[in-house]
Amino acid sequence: MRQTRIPMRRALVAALPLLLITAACGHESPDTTPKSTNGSSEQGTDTNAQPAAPGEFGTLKGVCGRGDGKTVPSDARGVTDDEIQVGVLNDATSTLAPGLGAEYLAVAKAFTEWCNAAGGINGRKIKFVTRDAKVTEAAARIVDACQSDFMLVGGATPFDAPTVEPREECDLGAIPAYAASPEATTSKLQALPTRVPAKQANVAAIRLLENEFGDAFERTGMLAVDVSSLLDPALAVREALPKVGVDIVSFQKLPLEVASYRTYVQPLVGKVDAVIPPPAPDAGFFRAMNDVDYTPKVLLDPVGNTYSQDLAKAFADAPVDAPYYLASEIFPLEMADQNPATKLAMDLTKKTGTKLPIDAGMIPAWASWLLFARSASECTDKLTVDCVIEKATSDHAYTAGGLIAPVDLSDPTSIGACRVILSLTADGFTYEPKITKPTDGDGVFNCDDANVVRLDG
Amino acid sequence: MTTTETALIELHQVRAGYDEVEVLHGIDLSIPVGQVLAVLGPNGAGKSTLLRVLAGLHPPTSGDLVIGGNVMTGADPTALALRGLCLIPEGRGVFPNLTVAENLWLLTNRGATRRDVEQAAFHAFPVLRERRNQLAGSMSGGEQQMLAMARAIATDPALLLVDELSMGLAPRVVSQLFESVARIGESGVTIVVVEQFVQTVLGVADRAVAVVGGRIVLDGSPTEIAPELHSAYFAGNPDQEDDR
Amino acid sequence: MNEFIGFTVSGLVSAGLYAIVACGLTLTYTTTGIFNWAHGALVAVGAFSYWQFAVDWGLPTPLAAAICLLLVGPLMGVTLEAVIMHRLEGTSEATRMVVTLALLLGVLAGMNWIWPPSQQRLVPRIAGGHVLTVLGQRVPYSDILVIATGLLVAVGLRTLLYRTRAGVEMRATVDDRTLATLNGASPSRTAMRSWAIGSTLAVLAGILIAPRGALSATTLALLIVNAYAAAVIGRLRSLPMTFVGAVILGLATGYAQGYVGSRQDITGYQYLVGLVNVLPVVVLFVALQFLPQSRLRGARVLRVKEVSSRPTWPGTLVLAVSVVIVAVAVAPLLSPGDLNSVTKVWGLAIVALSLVPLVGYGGRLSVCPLSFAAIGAVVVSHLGGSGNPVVIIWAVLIAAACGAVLSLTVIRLSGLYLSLATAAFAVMLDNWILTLPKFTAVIRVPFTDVTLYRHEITIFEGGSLDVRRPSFFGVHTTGDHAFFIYGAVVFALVTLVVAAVRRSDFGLRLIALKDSPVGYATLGLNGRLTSMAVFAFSAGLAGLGGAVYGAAIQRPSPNVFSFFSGLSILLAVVILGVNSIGAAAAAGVFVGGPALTNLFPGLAQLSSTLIGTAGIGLGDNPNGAVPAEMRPRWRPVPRAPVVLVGGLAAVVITYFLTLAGVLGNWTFATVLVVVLLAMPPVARYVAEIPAPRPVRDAEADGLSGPPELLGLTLPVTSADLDRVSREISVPRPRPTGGSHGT
Repeated sequence: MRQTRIPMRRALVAALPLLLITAACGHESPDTTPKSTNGSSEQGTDTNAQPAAPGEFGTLKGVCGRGDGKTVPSDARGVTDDEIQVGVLNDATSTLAPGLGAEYLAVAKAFTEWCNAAGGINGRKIKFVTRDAKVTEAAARIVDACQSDFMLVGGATPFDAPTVEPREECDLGAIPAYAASPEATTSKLQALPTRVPAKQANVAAIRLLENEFGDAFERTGMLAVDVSSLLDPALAVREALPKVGVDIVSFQKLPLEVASYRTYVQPLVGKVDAVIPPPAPDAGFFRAMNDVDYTPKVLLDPVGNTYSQDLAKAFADAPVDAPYYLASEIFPLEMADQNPATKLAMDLTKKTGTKLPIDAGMIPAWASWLLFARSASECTDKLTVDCVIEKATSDHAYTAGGLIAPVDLSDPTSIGACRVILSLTADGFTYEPKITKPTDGDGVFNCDDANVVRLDG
Repeated sequence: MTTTETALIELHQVRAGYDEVEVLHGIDLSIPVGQVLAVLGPNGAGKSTLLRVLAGLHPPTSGDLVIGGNVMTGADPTALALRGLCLIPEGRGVFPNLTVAENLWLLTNRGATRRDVEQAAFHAFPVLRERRNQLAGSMSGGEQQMLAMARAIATDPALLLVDELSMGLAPRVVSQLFESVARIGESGVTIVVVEQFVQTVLGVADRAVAVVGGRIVLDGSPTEIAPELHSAYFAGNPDQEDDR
Repeated sequence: MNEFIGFTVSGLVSAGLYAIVACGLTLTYTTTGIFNWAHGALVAVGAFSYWQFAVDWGLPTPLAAAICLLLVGPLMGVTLEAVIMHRLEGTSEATRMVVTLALLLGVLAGMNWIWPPSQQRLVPRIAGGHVLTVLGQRVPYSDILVIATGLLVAVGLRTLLYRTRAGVEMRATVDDRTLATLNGASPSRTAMRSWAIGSTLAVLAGILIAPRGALSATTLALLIVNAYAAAVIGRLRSLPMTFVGAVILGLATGYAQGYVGSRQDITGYQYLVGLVNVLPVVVLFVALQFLPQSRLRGARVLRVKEVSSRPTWPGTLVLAVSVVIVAVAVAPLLSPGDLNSVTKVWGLAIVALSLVPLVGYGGRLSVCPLSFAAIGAVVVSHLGGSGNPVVIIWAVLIAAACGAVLSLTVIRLSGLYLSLATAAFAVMLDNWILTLPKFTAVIRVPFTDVTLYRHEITIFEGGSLDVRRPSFFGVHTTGDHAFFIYGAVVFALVTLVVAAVRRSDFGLRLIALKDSPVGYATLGLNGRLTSMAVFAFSAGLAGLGGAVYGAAIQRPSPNVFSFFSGLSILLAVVILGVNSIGAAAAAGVFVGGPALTNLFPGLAQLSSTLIGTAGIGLGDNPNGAVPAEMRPRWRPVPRAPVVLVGGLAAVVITYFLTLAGVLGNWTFATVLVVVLLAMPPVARYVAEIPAPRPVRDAEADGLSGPPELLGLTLPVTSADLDRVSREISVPRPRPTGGSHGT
């Protein structure tokens, strides 16, 4: 799940200034794209099919285009005859976490360039403006956006509870990259393609690995970060896992800034066979495991927090001799060649010349933009925020053209059932079709309804 | 410092003060080698300031400090200390958070060994030997002052400046301390002693000056000035001009 | 049993790290008298420099380490002493703290600029990860190296400080710098040596800590906070005891995490888990309780007297009214986004003001103002459902009560130890209490099943509070504009309260207590009660500030009240003048306002660096910028009414033109700045045009200034001396004409 990805983990500080270890890189690292692997032949659409028509994105049609030539009437704020102004929330110039959310700006640039070249939203070009909340000024940015933006798309900020009231008050619609607080998750005038475990949780990872690691699951240890917006999803997972036969014998809360992982790894020795790591551990976590000579039977990330190049690097630095699996609702970037949407997203982002690594963390932003553009394009009678949100939330199985597993946009608290299992080795991430056992025909995801567990919460 | 000149240390028309307030209003003083000079006067007259100027700790606003014939106004007090100028400041010149032994150890920077220093100090003040490993700050006032005097004894200074040695001490201790001052004086060291208590120091000094209101009002041998001290302290001098 | 050995070994490994860091800190304190809050930043510099040489530039590891230890470390230390630390001679504890904190901020900002945090930096393992097996446990050689180094450092430093002349000289210089000079020591050379060694130790710690994980400047810098406990156990003096303290700390943390933090089956586990994470500061707090109240250092004479001048009623009223007028005037000029940002200013200014009686008048160096602000905000959030303003009173009272309770636990402490204790309290609150999960408060009749009271409490429910903006008699402050004015009014009222306190009996007592606790006691006054009272008063004010601040943000999360945000306020207040009410206002505006980051959006590090450099200049001006710089500069202005009126008129005219849209905001700001800069020198010029005044008349009436300031910040004139002579019936001292005689 994207909510607990690296920037979130870093940004949600309770007491201390932040460190950003995220997709924003100062140096051009030589390997900024995940390596492509050839999965089995059951994967995705063949890339050698004809190139997508302009305005089409993977399986998503009618995302952008000139429409029928006539200007769709609109008296909404931020909309002129030629342009729609959209705000992108981020925290890129904050002192606490410099560069946080910078990838949202890169994706915004990539998307708007592509969309405008294809004709825009029924002829109107999209102009995006940065709304830099600097972690602590989210409400002020909303107020700024309320002056001139049509909607907020493809961005997010970790402390988003203060944004809800001003945003709702000025009828500013939002399709964010993620929602951090419960208030933001259920706020009005919003469509949310990316979810975190709260009232429901996805346990596909457990179910699919039960056969091989059922014994190990009887002694499972979880490590979470003691910051409420990272902790709450972890608590939801903690509540969900026992319903599928997992016995959590150890649950540790790590501070946001960990100087020495050893203190938290030592208690696992001899007690825990299956480890659920904290969101975005750094190399120190794995080094500590080596130090205390601790090799669990399996490392498991059921939410997908750790799907990032930084984690791959960390794992490669101090590999642990245990299998590492994660479940993700994102189509694996390593197989981009077999999924036009993923390949297109990655290529477009790279084309902007950004120095940021093309990482899974960008996909939620893509999903948001695609949803916005497709929904807005469908509003041919009158372009209003209400119309866009209505069109967006009427999609019960949104896949962002194939970038992500289907998600029901009408219920922001629902978690999709489809997941893909990836393994992590020193060579990087690999799709595991035999473990995933895809159920969606020639797709990659396992979409068994039993993957979703409802919590009393 | 050369000792061939008659005057070891001189002040020429020295004015000194703090911020806007001038305390010394033009001091002329010449101290020959080997002399034991007592500086007397009421509180606030400027005696301590005079001593600090002599030690190079306080730069005069005008006038000169001459040592051994060389003008040393503004000289670095560290350099002066290393060349044999020893100031025992007011209020116990010891390091309270160091032990007696450590305090003495610091005196070895002029070439003496630790053992020599301790021997000299304990010979003069046997009580210090018992307190060797005790923190200086926890000793009684008299013992602290003895430790301070040990500096004078152990480092063989050329010029010894002592500020208010007797402050807050019992008479017996005071006389013991002044005995050591006398002994040092006998060995040829030039000494300047600032004191409030006139009788004790007059017995030790070769010469005495009285400083009142930032000026030297009396200057002579102890017997000469003793009768005039009383009036100098209390009456001031009524018929002098306002120079402001 | 195996488990126990495992936790013990882990604990010892942490202990080694704490030992090296704490010993470096203790060494610096013992040999310079300065508690370096930025020590952790130096550790971080060491780690990153090592990475730079060994990984980025690919030098062989021993060479890289050697360069860091022999070049970077000493150079850093010598530079610190030469540029910053020597100015701290003879300054108060508050000044030293602020300067070293400013240094911390500055160094971290610099590091984030040179090594942007977005990149993951890894340093190779020492000894390539080889291990030794001890009692069935694998211990990597690198960890053994750390423990051994820790021990060696402790022993080596002890030998240095107590068995070598150089070490004794270092300690002597701290005791009494002048006396050390008289002994032939060169204090500046000694200080350079001390800082060089201390910095090198920090670099050593950095090199040893680096392989633990990805490098993070902030983490390393703040790791030091955990090591404070070890240093305090060593009484900031004894290095072997510091090592013992480090061992205690490391083992305690290891066992706590192992036996409590990772277990789910212990009752109350969910409340204890957070405690385990703040265990180092809990140990610190406890250690401070048991510390014998020994004098930290021998009597230190402050080089520059810290003056707390008495605020006048006219002056304070002018300030209060101006604040409201400026708020009313500025509000319409701001863009809605800026207006939203700027509502935070008043709450922070009130929190800043709460430091004035406590740290300024009372001299009690407490560093947790935002903790009480958090308490105030929590109270208002839980009790003030519909914007009922009465809850603010509860916020003040409850915060004050907490302040009183805290003061009881720290009543014996002062200066540095007090700041450490309050820092520990702030971190405990941040990281444990405010993040406690839901719990149920139940009051039962003992030995029965009767429940009198049952309430479910979550302090920060769901991650953020819900603070409503109050309404008074039908006037709602929900809008940003209205709230901004409301905040200004509250702040103005609080300034009057603080001025009243300063002018009252209580204010006099505070200052007397600060000046001389011994003297205070001999007057028969109870110093402890006074201390408690000022703590409670300050905490209450901070609670009020928190209530206002919380309402400005409306949905504050715990990080808003973090210890480090509180430090920025403390820094700003002390830099601008902790004894001055006007300075507190300025501090609140500076910290809370958007101005700085909006003016220079691309240079986010700038404000940190600015605070850093300003703090460093504090050494020369411990009274703060406002009293030392601004007031004297502005003194001639009231004497030149022409200039005052003219300047005001210019500002007012420009203001209305801006309001009408004729001029832009930037133009107005520029005009304002120019007028403000020009008024003092012009006034001085105008005032000096000789207006025929009989000199005698003016001075015959009285002294040329308040008596306590003559000779201190004002010159003593001849007329003053005449007046004094008349008053005390003593003829003025006459010079010796060189002749005796009557």
